[in-house]
Amino acid sequence: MITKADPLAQTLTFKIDGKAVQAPAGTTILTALRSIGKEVPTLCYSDRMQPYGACRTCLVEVEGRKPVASCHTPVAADASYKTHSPLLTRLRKNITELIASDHPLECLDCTANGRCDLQSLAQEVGLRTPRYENARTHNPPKDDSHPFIKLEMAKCIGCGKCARACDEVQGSFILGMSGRGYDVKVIAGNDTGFEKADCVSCGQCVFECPVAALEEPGTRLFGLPDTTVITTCSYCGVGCSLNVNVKDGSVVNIEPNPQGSANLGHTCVKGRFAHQFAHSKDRLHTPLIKKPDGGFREASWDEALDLIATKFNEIKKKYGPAGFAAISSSRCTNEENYLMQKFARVVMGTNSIDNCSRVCHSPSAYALGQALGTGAGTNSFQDVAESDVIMIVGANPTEAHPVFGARIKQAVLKGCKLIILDPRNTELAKLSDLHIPLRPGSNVAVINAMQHVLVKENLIDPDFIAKHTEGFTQLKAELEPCTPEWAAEIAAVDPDLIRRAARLYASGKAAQVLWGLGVTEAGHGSNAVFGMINMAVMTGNIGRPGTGTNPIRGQNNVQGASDVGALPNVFSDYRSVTDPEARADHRRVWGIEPPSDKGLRIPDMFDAAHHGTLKAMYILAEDVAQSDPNTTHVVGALESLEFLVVQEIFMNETAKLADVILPGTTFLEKEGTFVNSDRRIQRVRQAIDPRPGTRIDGDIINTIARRMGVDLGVDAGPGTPIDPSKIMDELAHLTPKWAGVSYERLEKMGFIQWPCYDKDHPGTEIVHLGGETLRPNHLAKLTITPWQEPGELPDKEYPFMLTTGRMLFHYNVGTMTRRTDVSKLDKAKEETLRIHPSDARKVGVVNGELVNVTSRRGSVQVKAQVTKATNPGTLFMTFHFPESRTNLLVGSAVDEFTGCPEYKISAVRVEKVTAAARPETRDPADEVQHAK
Amino acid sequence: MPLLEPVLCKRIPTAPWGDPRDRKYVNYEAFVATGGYAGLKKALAMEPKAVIEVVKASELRGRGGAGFPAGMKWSFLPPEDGKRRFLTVNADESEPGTFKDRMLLDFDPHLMLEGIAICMHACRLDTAYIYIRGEYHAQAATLQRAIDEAYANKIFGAGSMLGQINGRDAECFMHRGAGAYICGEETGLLESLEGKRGWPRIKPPFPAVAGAFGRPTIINNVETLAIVGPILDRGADWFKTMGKGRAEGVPPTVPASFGPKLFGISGHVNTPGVFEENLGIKCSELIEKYGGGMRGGKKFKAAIPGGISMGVLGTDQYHAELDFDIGRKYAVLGLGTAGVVVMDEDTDMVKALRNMIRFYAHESCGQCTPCREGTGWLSKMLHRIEAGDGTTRDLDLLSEIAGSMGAMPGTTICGLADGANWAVRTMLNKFWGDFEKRVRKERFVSLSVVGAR
Ligand SMILES: Cc1cc2nc3c(=O)[nH]c(=O)nc-3n(C[C@H](O)[C@H](O)[C@H](O)COP(=O)(O)O)c2cc1C
Ligand code: SF4
Ligand code: SF4
Ligand code: SF4
Ligand code: SF4
Ligand code: FES
Repeated sequence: MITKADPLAQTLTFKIDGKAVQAPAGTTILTALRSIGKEVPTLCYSDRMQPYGACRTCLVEVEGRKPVASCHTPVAADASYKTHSPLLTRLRKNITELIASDHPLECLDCTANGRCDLQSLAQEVGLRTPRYENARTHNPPKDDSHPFIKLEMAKCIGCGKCARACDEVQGSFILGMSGRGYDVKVIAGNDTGFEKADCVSCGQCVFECPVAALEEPGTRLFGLPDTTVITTCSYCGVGCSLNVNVKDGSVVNIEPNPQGSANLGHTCVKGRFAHQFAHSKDRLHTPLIKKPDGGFREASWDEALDLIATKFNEIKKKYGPAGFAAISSSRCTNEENYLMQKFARVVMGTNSIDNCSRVCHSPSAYALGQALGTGAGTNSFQDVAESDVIMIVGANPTEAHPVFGARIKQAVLKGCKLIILDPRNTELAKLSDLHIPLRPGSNVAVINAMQHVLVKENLIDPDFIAKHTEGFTQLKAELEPCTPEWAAEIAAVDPDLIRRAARLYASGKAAQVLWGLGVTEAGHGSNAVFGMINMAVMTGNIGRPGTGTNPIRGQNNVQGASDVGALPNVFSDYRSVTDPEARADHRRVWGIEPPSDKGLRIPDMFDAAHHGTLKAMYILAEDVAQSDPNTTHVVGALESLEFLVVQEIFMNETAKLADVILPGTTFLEKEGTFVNSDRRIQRVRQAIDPRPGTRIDGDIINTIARRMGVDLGVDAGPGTPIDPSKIMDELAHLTPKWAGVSYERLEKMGFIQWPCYDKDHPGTEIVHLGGETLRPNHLAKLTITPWQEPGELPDKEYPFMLTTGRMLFHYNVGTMTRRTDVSKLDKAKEETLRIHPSDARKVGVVNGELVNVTSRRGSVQVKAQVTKATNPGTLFMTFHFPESRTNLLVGSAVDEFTGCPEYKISAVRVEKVTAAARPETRDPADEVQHAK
Repeated sequence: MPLLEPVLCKRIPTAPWGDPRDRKYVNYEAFVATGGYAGLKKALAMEPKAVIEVVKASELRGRGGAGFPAGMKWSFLPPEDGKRRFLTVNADESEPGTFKDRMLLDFDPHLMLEGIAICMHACRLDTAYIYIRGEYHAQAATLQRAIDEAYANKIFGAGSMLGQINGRDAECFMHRGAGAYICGEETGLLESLEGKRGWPRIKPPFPAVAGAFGRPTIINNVETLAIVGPILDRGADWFKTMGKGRAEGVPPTVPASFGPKLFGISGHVNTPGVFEENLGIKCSELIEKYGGGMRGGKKFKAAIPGGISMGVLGTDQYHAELDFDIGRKYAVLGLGTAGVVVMDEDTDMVKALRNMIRFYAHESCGQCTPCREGTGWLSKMLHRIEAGDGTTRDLDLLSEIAGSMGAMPGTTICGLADGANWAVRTMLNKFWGDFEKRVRKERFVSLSVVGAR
């Protein structure tokens, strides 16, 4: 069970099997006996859930008293417990026999054979055949309807773990026990089956089931795995630790790693089930070279790599460093990102290297760096359990970061207050104490007004401000006009809501702010982040457990890609490329003078390509033509290049524009590390061999360098594979905050949260402890954050605001998830336009009807989904379905500090598609009509 | 010595003091006119702690089945913290053979409401919930009428004589069950009250610490609370003049059997019904004096002392004293609800036990393995034995699984399984012959089955 030990609890002394043991009051007997290496059988207990006490196999004898269930009974002072005795064996055997009497006992035919708790218990107590006659009275049919979760009630032993996992870990409350006595059974929803019951397919119920009553198809097909590899999920920034079960070189299934520090034995549908893409037939399996007619031909690796080496050398010679730019990938490992930026800087001599955090969280990194001295969140995931107030701005964690979302949900269910600033009526908004349904683009105004209230109503911590901050006087003056009334006007909300939100935030003993892409991709994102930092700092909510300012990072390794320097303006550790000391360090290690050009950011790259100054690009695993805003502009840019190399696992929109496509590998096929959203560096381990014809991405980068005549110093000589641990050593050497990181330590510790300054440093759970920031003067900077109009506002012609985001079942442009059975789930089948009933009425559409959504940039056709999940005036679409081309609609305004695009807001209009205008067949290409 | 005057039946005509046909609802005015709410008035003049002391001194033990000392229960509550604290009244009365609370609810609910108000004052509980058995339709209507009268007369509600408790007006609500025996178990009741499945909770935490809605909660039976008013009115010493009292040589720390008690008589007697007597009255006296003797002049064979969960008294235990010591003295589980079910010489014990066990199999909530599967198998095996297909091995197996299930052997969460355990074991032990006869005779017929094993 996940509970913090009470530091004030008294220590009790008692005996277990004759041995004196001490434990704090409140410890269960089970925990105590396990702490000295003893074990008792358990069928209904799980470390991740509250004790249940129903199977009774964990009984222990208590001297002078009746036996008790050890899993939930607290230890008593001076008691004497026995874990095994003839009486206990008899009772356990009786229980086992009772269960077995109504169990199929077809062990050979069962997927749990060999890892079934009931089977082991029967062995332990020596049960052979139950003595009851005419056994097996329950034999209901199997429920096979769900693609991942198969329910066979005949095997259920009624332990209730599945239902509790769904309640206490996932927080979806899908499963329940129905009926009573002998007829108790597990049901989904009101016995409607999983999907109708809104199951989110996290698989936790399957994971907890001690028998095979709940099972997943993988194990059914393959049998027991031969190896289990612990690695880190490659989907989102939660960074769940996964156990990949492998048999004969293929993935059997993926389960949560119970020891995983970020996920505590939980996963979402993507990490758990969306892995078949690695084995997909669509995988690119050979290099492809563009033919003069625009098609591609297969090529050998040698030919492709030589071509690239020659071309890159030519371009460098002809146009100098300005002719080349690289886009690195937050999907790839830290080592590969480090290598990519080293390639750009050392081999091509340019700072024009960027990664996609540009399109998501660069404002977070920028503002956090400016105000607090480090470009990452301040606290850790586990802190949500210690917060008494959480404020979430522009994020939908239960869909986009499901495992973290579930943790927040549990905290809220346990009484933590929740404030939501979001135009959408998200799942957490429904659970919140206070929801400000602000108009898209008005974050900064509302946050400024909240600061205004904090100051006006003296809800701030003057001591903390005096001791740990600078800039308060100016800020105070700037905030003067930012009244709730002023902000309410802009945000179209009740001013009182803003006041109450500020008061609620300030009422927390430990309040934390979380935000997502709704802040950073909503224009003026940096200002919004500055504002939230101001709030935290002014109220002293920084540097303590449960406090802080924490971005929830989108992709698995956006944090890492930026940390290791895949950015134009900084080296690793966000050390400026103009910083003499950093330059000296790099000169020493790299043996060259680091480039001093002003590197291009991703949007600049496309502009430069249009201007004709940029001639060649090397894009690593990033579908910019699909996922970047303003698709038309991006495609034009890429088309105008002289030479484009794209390294990918699947053919996609960007790859189609390439001159050479290189087949890379998935996270399951390589070694490395990822950094998750709370600065947790975790290992990625190879579970399966690279698919035939593909190569590990780091190796590809290194080989190109080698063929261009440069030794990046990360292999054991020409033609040998890279050594990721060696790259990490170099990276640690050049990165003060990673100095203590090495593969050896990661192996031992499981994870390290940076900053980690030396080999003895334990890593940092909470940054800025005690309010001392990482800025040189250790003060937090309070920054003025003027509100500006978003780049795009609705008007008569385009009366709606469209925001974009993710849904639970898919990831980014769906390249991976849509090649798995996840897309068999009804909810995950196609794109829809989420529209509020009142708007739908205005436009005259009903649920499921086809509509045209048109912005100033383009028009797409999609089905309307009428739902109260969005507010009137605000529409929502995901970007998971390339054929629906959501990004065609999106604007090109950018954050003034970081160039982060305003992904979240575009003004659009919606029209019902008339029968005549509806295409006969729904060819995706037909649905796209470019606007002039 | 028989009870001198009716206490619980003061306003409910009951033999020997009155004729049950004269029973009618006692409304607020009638209740007050006959000395009702006098105990409450006295209690309100006292410090809350002092009220608890009186209840403690009376040595009142719970009338709901377990016999836990009420005063002690009341003193377990943690200190007040300004937040809600609850009283839940157990009016779920579903134990087979038990219908005593029903009589109080039907005719004199104000007696219980007075006890509720006293308990709320004494324990600083701001809200009371009366959880009433789903099948008690008429009683629910009567109870609601009484509650409304109590509100109208400032027993509860804004400006009531209880004043503010924990900064709130004292409130009393009725909550109706939906027909599950397990919701009479105190924590099953709390779950049901909270709107969940009535699955008993693991303990600790005990309800006194974290009960309804996670807050400190007292749970008492209807009859337990009904006697509190008279105790406060007339004193602990008066209360202790009634009942069996404490046996000689037993230290005062051991709970004893004081006070009057409602006894229900049903089964093979001439005049079944609810009667009030001293704790400690002999089973034989109860049958002969109140039950009008055995029906049709048949011979006594067995009696269930207090709801079927207590097991049976054997033919030779006809004179057993019905008090809290009965369990120890006569090898039954306890006094239980004192709902006595009498069986005459013609009773088929196999059939009787099968009927009892079918109840447990039907009512088991299904949470604990031994109870869920065990009651199911007990029931199936007894059906088999009754049908004539049983073997002696079945009898051994019956007593083995029965003996290993229940909160007493530690294998279940609540006491429901103990009821099944005691019913089976006392029946088998005390009427082994009846069972053996059944299986032995049939064993001959189903020899092939025996041989197959
Ligand atoms: C299965 C089961 C059913 C019970 N049903 C009732 C009931 O219907 N009424 C009741 O008062 N107590 C019932 N009890 C006893 C209660 O759990 C609890 O002990 C009692 O309400 C406490 O009140 P008292 O101390 O005033 O007796 C039941 C117990 C068990 C184990
Ligand atoms: S898969 Fe997850 S959400 Fe669905 S029933 Fe199981 S635990 Fe609940
Ligand atoms: S399905 Fe599995 S986890 Fe759920 S109650 Fe049955 S045995 Fe337990
Ligand atoms: S996608 Fe995110 S939440 Fe889901 S398993 Fe992967 S890391 Fe965890
Ligand atoms: S003993 Fe039986 S009724 Fe009581 S909690 Fe367990 S399963 Fe439910
Ligand atoms: S593990 Fe303790 S009762 Fe099931």
